[in-house]
Amino acid sequence: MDVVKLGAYLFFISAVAAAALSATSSFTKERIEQNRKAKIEASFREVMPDAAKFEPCKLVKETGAVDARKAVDAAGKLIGYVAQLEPSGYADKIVVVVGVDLDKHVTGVSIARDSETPGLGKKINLPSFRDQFKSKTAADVRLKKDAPEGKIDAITAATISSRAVTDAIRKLLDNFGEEPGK
Amino acid sequence: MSILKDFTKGFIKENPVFVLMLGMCPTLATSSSVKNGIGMGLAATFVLACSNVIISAIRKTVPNKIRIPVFIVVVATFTTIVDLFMEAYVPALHKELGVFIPLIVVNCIILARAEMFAQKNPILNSAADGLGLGLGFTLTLAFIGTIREILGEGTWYGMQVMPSDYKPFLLAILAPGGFICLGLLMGLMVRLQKAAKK
Repeated sequence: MDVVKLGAYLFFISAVAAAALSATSSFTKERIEQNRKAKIEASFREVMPDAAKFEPCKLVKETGAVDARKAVDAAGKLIGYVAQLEPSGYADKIVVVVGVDLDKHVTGVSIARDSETPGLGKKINLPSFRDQFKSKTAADVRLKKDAPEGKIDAITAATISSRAVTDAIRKLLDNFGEEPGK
Repeated sequence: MSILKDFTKGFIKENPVFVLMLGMCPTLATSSSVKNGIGMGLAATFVLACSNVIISAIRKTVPNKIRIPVFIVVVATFTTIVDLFMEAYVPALHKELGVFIPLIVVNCIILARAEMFAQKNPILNSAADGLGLGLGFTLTLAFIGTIREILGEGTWYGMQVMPSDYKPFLLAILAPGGFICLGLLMGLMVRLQKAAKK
């Protein structure tokens, strides 16, 4: 009978804990969502600094873009696109924001959110890694260790994180196109 | 009087890092700057004080056989609450501390206090114990962070304090600098305590 008693006690404690957590989660949910959105908006501006404003648009499914915007300059001229990608990293999804100009050159890369290992995979956040993508085209966006024509240096001991970001960006450039009929 | 004592002992006499030698991993990882140290310290203080109170409140009903899983559930609940609140209200710090916030669950200071103190003492004393040790931990992290940030970046809490031509001693903010700094401070602490006893 001991098992039943102990089990019941643990069940009770866990139930109280679960109730407390769901209350906290519903209280903070909206705010966290807003923060994440704001962070992605800021990343859009970072990777496409010349844009005056962004207009909603949709890229073809094959690009892997979760969300995208048209970048328009002060004169109202289309200057490029920004896209939000979510490749799987070493731990959880990596939220990558990429800017692409009309010639399909990368204008900038920003990591909006990740759960990579501090000191290793986390280094994808460093400008020394992210800036390698600037003004590259699809053919260049490969890790040097994966293909001879690649122009991207992977981060030491963090190949999975580096490859996740690189491959997602190449997939975007390879299949780049706006969803027709919009 | 004893409540006050339970509060103050965490700063020097039972300082979690220098004397109890607990929580070394988060200490090394988050003391590379003052801001990170204080953020981590306060998050751990909240979890420590709250879980001490709850564990003390239920101490007479918890069956001895399953006390560890019960304690872990309590600690994990408060850690998740802190994690969610930090992501909602201080997202930049949350991003900086990253994985170390969820890891408060396995911070041995917290389980050690539950085992050594909260399950044997009344609620108020346990609250004082948790707050005292937590703030002691925070001050320790801030202190180590001060040394490492000034040496390694020439700044304190993000403000420039060294002359602008100071060349940062990068080792200080990397892991080896953390070990060296922590070791020297522990040695100093032991020395001071010996001197105080004489």
